[in-house]
Amino acid sequence: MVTIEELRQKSLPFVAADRDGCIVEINDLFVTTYGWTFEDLKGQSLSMILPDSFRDAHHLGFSRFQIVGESQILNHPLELMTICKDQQAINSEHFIVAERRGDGWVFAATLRPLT
Amino acid sequence: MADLELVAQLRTTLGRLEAALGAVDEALAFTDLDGIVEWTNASFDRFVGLPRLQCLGRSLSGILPDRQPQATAEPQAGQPFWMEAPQGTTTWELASAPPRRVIEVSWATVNVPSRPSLVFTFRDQSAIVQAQDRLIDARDQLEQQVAQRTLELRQARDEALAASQSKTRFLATMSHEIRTPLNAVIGMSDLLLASPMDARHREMIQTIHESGDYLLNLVNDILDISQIETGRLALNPRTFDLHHLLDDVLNLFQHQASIRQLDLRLSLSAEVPK
Repeated sequence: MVTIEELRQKSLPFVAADRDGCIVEINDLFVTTYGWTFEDLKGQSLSMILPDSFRDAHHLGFSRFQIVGESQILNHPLELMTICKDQQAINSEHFIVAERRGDGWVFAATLRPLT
Repeated sequence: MADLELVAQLRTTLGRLEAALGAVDEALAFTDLDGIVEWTNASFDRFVGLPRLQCLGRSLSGILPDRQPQATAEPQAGQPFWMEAPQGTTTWELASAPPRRVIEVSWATVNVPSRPSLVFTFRDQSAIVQAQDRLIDARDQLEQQVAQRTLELRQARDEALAASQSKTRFLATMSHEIRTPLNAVIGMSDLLLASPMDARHREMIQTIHESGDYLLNLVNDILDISQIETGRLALNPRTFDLHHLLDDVLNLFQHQASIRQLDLRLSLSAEVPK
């Protein structure tokens, strides 16, 4: 099982979120790849970097995970789109992990651009 | 803090909703008004054979299974089916060869002011349709068996009728052919009885004559049966003397009884009509 710390150490764009799915960390590669600054994203929902058509499914799926603790999207690579600051959509490979913190979960992902 | 609690409650509500919709048998999908997929449930993912993440952001038309050409064309060629009305229901045949796969598709517009969307339901009717098909097949097979059995019975009846008619024709022909020489026997014995002879010879000729008469009656009865079977018998009711008829029967068998040393007698009660 890949840990958040192991993801953080990779040379890939990295983002981390708290138990509510709000962004708490991005790395420099994320800034240079997707154009967002940490100030742009700090405290914002992860759905901000997802296409519009993914947002409802993200919120519903995220909420379900908080209750049942199961998800189909964790711990394996997923080919998705990432929205840049200029709203351009970049095809990218997401690797998402979740870790227990107390009675909740925190999240992190690498978002490797594919184009 | 109140906001955080409210968010937590809303998260729980959304999570329960997502889990509940994921548990229903019907395949569900939300799209925007252009048909771009924004949410699916687990049944929908199984229906299209794609995980949710590969459905999101794609045109619904592009991920639905191919369906058989419909008898009625869509209102406008190339226009998605949901454009024909704000809501509706249609049936798709995904596989026309048995076992058929049939899906009932319903859609409705969700008029949320800032973001109207479409909700789709795909209900698998294959089990019902296949059961109906099996019933129809069973009925057709039964009808075929009944038709085959009816044909066999009709052929058997025709063969039996043909055999019966052959028998009747044979009986009629043979009876007719027998009567000719029999009439000669009766006529000759009649002539002989008119000639002088001793009592012993007369008795013998008399027996020949009476047996000839009896045989002629039997042949006539056979002819009557032939005429009954061919529907040509015409009844001819007439009055006769029953006592005289019974005496004739007694006389007919008296000789045979005496040969076997049997005592044959006729006894009539007073109630026997004349």
